[in-house]
Amino acid sequence: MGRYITRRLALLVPVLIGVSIVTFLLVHLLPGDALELLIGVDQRMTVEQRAELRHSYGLDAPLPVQYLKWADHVVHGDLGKSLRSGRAITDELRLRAPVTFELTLLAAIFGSIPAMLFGIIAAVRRNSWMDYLATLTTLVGVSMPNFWLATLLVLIFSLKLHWLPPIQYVPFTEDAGSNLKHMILPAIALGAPLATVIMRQTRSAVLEMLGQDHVRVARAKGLREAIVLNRHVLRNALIPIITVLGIQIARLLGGVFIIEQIFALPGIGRLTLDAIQNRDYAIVQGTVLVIAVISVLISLTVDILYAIIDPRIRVS
Amino acid sequence: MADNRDTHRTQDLTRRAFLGGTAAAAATAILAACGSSSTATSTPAPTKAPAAAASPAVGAASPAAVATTAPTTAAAATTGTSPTTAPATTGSTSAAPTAAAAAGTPKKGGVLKMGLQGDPVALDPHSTSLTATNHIVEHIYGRLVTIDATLSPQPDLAQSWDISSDGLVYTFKLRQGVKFHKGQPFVAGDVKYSYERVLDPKTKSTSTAGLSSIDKIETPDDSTVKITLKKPNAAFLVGLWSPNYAIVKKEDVDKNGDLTKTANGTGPFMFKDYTPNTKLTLVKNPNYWDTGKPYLDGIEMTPVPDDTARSTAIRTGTVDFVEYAPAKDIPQLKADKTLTIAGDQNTNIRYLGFNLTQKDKPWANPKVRQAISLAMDRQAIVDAAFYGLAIPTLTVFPPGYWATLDTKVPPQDIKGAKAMLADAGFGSGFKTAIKTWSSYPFLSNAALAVQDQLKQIGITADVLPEDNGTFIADNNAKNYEMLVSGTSGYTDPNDIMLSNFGTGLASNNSGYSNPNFDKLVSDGVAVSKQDDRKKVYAQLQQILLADNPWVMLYVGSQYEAMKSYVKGYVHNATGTNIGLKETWLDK
Repeated sequence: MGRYITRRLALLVPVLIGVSIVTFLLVHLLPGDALELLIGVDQRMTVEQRAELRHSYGLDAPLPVQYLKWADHVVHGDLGKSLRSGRAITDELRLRAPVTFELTLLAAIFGSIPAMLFGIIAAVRRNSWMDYLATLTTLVGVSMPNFWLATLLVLIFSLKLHWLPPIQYVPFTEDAGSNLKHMILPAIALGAPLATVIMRQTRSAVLEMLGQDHVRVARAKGLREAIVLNRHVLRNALIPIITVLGIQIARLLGGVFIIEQIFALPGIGRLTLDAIQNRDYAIVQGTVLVIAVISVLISLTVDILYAIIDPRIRVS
Repeated sequence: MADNRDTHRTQDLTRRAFLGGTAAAAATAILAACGSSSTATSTPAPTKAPAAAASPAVGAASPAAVATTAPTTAAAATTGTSPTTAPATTGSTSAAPTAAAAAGTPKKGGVLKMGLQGDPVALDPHSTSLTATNHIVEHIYGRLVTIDATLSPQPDLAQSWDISSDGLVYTFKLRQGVKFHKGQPFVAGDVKYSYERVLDPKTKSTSTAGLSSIDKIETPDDSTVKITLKKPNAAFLVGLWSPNYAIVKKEDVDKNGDLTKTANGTGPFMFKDYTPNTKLTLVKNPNYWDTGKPYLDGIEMTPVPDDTARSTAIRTGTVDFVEYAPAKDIPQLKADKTLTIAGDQNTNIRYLGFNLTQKDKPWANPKVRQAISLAMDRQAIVDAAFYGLAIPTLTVFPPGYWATLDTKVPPQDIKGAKAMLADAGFGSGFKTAIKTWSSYPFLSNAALAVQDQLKQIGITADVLPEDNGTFIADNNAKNYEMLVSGTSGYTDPNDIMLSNFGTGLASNNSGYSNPNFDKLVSDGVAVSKQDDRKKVYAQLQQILLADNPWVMLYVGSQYEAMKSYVKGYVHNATGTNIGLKETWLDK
């Protein structure tokens, strides 16, 4: 097991090199650069002054040189500085990460626990009205992009009903209640697609298990239905659900970019989007790298969880 | 989704702005100066102001005079507005409450909760010229001079100044006993250090232009700064107002490497803390040199980039004050009895520009550009782009500004335009494309109106809205045929003439080049009397009207909205919020 984990971690290196090169090329493919955006369109400057400024930012070097310089710093633990704010990117990430972490965690909770419950109910009471309702909800959920759902939630709960204020993020440490109030809508919007997937997955996994021989045997033994469900059905049904959950949580991180923007949450997603708009290369590179590391770690955790839940899975 | 775009919005458009300072809003201010004589005489301040740049030792006002300047001029300015702008629009109504607010005895105390349009991003006043940054650092750092409502220079850290008769040597007498927030005394060496830091390439300043005419800075003693220019520059003094020329302390830079994390100035408010995209807190500077001010104990600033959210925040009372109250909500906000609206036209010009480096295109012919100008229905553009709250214009300066050429915006003349186009050999029209900013509806909507009006004279134009980065890149590389864009604030007319139309400058986006024009631009800063300068700028505007490198469309407007218990705030046409120094809470 130890060796397996080490090997998986070693694989991180090529993944990260690949991700960083692709990111680097993509952001540089965008028209315009950080400096032009800083200067704007009518700041009085001669062509020479602009060239000098570009040089002082190191933006005039050939792309491979710029990349290697960046990579060299990263290897030494320095993600660089924002071209725009001059702040260190590690500081920036330290400030933003808790927001994104909280949002993702809440979305994962919203998206999995109720969904699993409904999935189980739908399977156990299949073809009942509850099953149909669950299936219908899933269908609607799957077809609704989360940015649309998010806009709808803001419109209804903030602007029309005034239940939740349209602004402004308050750190959890400062005022937990107010913080959670601001996090509910984004977490629901972010978690909704996850919920639909988990519910469907749970329903079909549980259904499949219910038809298995060992479940019939358990019932034949005279076990109570609750015990049959709990011990023989759910435990086994959990494996495919966890696989999906692992993949989906990594996807949640992708949704963060849009959701944080809509709800004006100062997390990593918003930081990255702002940075893309401002062509703040170092920030984009840094955040994408961090997100890549997290995604890889999540999938590793899921793999390890398998082994714990299902002793049959032997990793070589 | 709309909000993310808003975040970058005005910030980006205006950043270049503050370069030389801002004259933008000059509007209100200026109006006072040229307004009815009755208002002008009512207070001594405005009468003196216009002369500022001209006569030597103008700024030498006594401290008492300084203290009274702002409120008095403001009141004068606002009253002056009504007669002058009456036909124009908005001014008078919005001005009235401001003037009223300035009355009454200020109460001390209380924290103002303020909604910002953009996150401040960076805090180093020298390396960043983003509007959102300026709107923070302007409260923290003092500058040698400040500006009044007429956009004339007024004493700040410099108590008085003397300009040599050849216009080359500026001798500033510094205010005595001023202390930085951390307790160090303010001395002449700080001015020299600060200006040299801006000019040092290592600082990576984007706003060196306002100081680049400096030849040398001497400090004969701790309270005197002598600045020698390479050649006379009438635009120099007022430009020192810019927050980008903040006076900082060398030891702060030495200790921290830069000023991104620390802020130690001499301004009315002290920096307390900042969480990006969340909150920035300023507290009162108890030792501010202008004794008794500021009235507020502090300001809590929260970025609320989304327009609707900002309106909602002020209407629901989540905040006490918002900058950039959205034009679309102005009628609603004005109708709200719990609110006071300050604001008016600013100096930002919106225009249709042509790429004049494309010599083989129809618009290389001045007649074609003239025809296009004739075909514009500017009021329709204002209605489409700015909810009718802006002012149609023919020239590059706003009405009421001292340098503005008196012109009358003619009605749309399709027949004349068609005839002129036929005369130029394009009677059957042509095809083109207009690039514009997707993130600024007041420009992209104007572009659509322009497209419609061009169609009426047979010109088919595609409108291509682009994101900020792409637009700026295309603009700078002259990779466009026509564009609908805008300028931002300035304090001196030279800023806009030189930056945008000076031969060979990187910021000259149309590629316009006219030796006669260039010569007049240099003349404009070589003479120092405002009357003489005014004549030069009149000629320059005549040339632009004949050549039309840009077809001017309208002058923008800018508003602040506040709860009615917020008193004493005076709107400034440059868009700056320095009025917060005079603001107090009546509750």
